[in-house]
Amino acid sequence: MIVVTSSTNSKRASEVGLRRYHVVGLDDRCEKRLHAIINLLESKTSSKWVHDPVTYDLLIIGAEPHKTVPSGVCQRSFDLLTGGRGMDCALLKLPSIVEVLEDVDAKLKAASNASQKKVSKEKERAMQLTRWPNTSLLVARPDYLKLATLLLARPLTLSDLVQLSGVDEETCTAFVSKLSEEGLLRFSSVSTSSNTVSTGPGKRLFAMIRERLGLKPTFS
Amino acid sequence: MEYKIVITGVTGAGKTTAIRAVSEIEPVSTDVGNHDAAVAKEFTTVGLDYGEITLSNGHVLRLYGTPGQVRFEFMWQILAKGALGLIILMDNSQENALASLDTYLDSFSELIDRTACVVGVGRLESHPQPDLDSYAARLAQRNVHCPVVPVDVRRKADVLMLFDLLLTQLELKTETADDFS
Repeated sequence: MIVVTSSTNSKRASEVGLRRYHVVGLDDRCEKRLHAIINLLESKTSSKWVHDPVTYDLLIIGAEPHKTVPSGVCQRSFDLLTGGRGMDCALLKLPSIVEVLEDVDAKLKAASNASQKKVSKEKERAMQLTRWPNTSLLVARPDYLKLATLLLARPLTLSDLVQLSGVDEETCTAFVSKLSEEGLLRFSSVSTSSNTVSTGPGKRLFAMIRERLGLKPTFS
Repeated sequence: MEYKIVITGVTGAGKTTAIRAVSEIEPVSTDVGNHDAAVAKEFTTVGLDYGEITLSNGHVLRLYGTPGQVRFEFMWQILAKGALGLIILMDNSQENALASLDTYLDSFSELIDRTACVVGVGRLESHPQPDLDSYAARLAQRNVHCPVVPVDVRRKADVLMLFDLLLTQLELKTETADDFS
């Protein structure tokens, strides 16, 4: 039996059109063949699939999946490829694999869209980070470090975040969606508008320190 | 008028180096020979490091590096009083790094609650464990909300990043900012 499961281990922000998979529990020959087939399928799938054993969207598991699935990963099991016995590489049929990859890709896109819609709905609600995000998420884009720091300091609406950071709304939305997916945001009915950011001498003090250190102003 | 930012952390984490990176004067240090075999440096700060930056209005921002050893904790409290914010420097090559972090979080809890804090972790490349996510998890466990980033204090850009992250938080904490107006 081969089980294919989407993974919650994908903590890195997915680049557009790029998906990651990992394989466990297959013998070397089978695994190599699978890598080769997936590589060859690049032109037939909506997204490009690359092997990444650390942060993956899809985990392909060989026999006895209940023994090989890392804890916390198998939250959305599809059981898309079943049948046959043992590690029969004949199961690695190209059409089936395309079907599986496309199916998982579609489900991931749907989940991402749902998350973005949720964020859009929450657009005018203040949100704040409950903890500093994982490194794999932050390194996806240079802007994310600044966005995370802003969201850590105080509850902000998405509009506040866009306005204060000077980062485009699409990037802010994508970042907030990722945080939301990972359960790192606390939403509040109390909106803290950006116009309450310090405008007094305190702000001028920090602006002078920035100027002296040669740092860009925080607020655009 | 005078303002201050405090840089704390374990001995050998690079507090003196960090201050040197941004201070307009050569840091004033009270170093003596190190007799602690566990720390691979010839000199260590027994009192404090001091640097300063003159702002455009003539006011001075003072930078204080605390002595690393816990036996000088009484000085940490003195330095923390009235500070704008806190930078914690960790050395990942030292044992029990997360326990050391706890020590600083405990000792500077009032300052962290009142202002803002950023944690910079050094020597991650040679000593990858505990990783940054472990630090972040520990901070969350302690209900401390602050950035934790990799840092090499020999690089000025890394030191400036710490100040940038600290100032970003301070600028958003309206009340805090106005406290220092």
